[in-house]
Amino acid sequence: MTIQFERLLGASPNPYVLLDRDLVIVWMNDAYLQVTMSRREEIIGRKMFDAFPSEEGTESHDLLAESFARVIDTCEADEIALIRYDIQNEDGGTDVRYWSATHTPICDDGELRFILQHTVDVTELEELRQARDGMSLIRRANAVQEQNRSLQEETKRLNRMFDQAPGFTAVLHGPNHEFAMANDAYRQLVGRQDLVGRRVKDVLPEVIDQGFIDILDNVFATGDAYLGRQEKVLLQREGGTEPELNYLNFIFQPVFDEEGVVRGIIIQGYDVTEEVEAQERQMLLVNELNHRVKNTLAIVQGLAMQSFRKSGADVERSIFEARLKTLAAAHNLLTEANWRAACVEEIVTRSAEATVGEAVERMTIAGRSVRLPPQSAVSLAMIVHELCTNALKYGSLSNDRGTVAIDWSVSTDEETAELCLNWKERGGPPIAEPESVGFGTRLITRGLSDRYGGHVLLDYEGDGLRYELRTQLELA
Amino acid sequence: MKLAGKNILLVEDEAIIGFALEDMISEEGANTQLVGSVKEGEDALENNAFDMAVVDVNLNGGYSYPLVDRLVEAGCTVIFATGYGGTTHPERFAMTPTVSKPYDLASILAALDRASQSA
Repeated sequence: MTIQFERLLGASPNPYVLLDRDLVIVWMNDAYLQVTMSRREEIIGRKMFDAFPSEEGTESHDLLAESFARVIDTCEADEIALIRYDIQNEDGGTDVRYWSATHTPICDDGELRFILQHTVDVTELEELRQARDGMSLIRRANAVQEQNRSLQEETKRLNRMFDQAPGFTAVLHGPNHEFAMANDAYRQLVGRQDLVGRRVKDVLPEVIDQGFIDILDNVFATGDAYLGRQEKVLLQREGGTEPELNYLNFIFQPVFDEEGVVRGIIIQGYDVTEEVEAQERQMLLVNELNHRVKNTLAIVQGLAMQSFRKSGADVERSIFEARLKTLAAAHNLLTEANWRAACVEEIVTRSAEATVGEAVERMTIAGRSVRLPPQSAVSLAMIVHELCTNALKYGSLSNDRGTVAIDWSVSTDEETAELCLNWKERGGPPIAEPESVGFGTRLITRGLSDRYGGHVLLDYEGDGLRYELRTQLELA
Repeated sequence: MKLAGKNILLVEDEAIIGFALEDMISEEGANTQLVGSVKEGEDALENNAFDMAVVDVNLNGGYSYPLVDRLVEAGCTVIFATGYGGTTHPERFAMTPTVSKPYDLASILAALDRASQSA
């Protein structure tokens, strides 16, 4: 083993040095001696920080010490992109040097035995850069590196927190949106495993045309978070033939550094595809229902016209058509409310308008905002239609002065709510109770039969008809 | 099936359909009572005995089954009416005939016939 490794690395032009876990130098190759301007016997058996002293608390010392500590801690390789580490020259003076270093753990039975440092002297390169960019580059590079560190720490923390979370989470780093981490749910969502260290547009090229890179760019540039609600995303999963459509609720949340500069973006969200598809199915069903109801009413109207055409019953036919029209209007109202509930004021107003035309100006319609379930809404519309028809024929709308006041109120106690609607005619000709009970009166006196049985009151008062309707309301 | 002279309870929450049913049955010479809810039906049972009943399955978003239990207990011949296709009743009503809306007199008479034979 020793021979193999010495033969392998000894003659390498790349500098290598091997440390034990106490950071004592146990081996190095010639290239290392050359770049560090040191002699083997001077440094072998000495601790790294003794052989190449740097002051504790300085950036050089801390960067290096922290990197070693991470390797010992995690048994994982660690990199230092750029470190200034000055060394003594042969004249006893100090040379400013810049390095790039990789620390690779060498483990035996899972226990760290050695750390192999591969170091490259990048001083010349660095001096060239400095000559070009001035010192700002170093500061920037350092800052970025610091940011890398803190972002990596953040990532590890987030990883632990979010890896098993049901929502998907990924952290992007830098202006090119490289994946710094992605949890299981995220990998599953995009259908790809190999994400970390790669750019979004490279791993998920299908999202470019969908505008998501532009959105990420904008979040990165402005620092404004982006919220997606039920947003369509096509994802081409590994092994899949066609891109799959997903609906996602998500946020692109910028990650700021201490100076308030955006360094990355956290992606977090939930797949709501099933929810959205269920909503779409329901919409489809409601539309189909609307279509069928209207069609059926139209067919009934057609049938009636055909059936009564030759009977000479024109009056009856027009009564029938007016009733059918009211029924259709009530269903239109429900269509607009998606078959959930309709507003009492709307029901009464529309039914009255459709029945009495301009005379609606002599009607006052007022009451608090109350909603009725579909069945009661249709019943109320029919009742108002019959009341209006009667008023036009015999009541206060049969002359040009009479009025109708319609109002309603809701009384509630702990368990129930009751709607009480009043119809009062004034200024019409004297009225009397009809001798026979027609369909209209039958319908009016039936009321809105609810689960508890509704109540009505029909009073042929001297100054005009009074009608009271009570019904239980469903408590929300 | 002769309905003349029979007491028949009609349970239907949609007033206009209920009126048509009431007219249809009373023209056959039966005495009818139309109710629109389980509560009203139970009140009717307190005061009257019924030979037969035509009962809408869905009443204002609820089921009429509790009322039907009371009717069957009282020895009444019951059939169901429903606007929903393919309604599955609880097992105890598996043998109860069902007519679907829109129905006519003939289908109601036929269903009442079957119900009285199986009873």
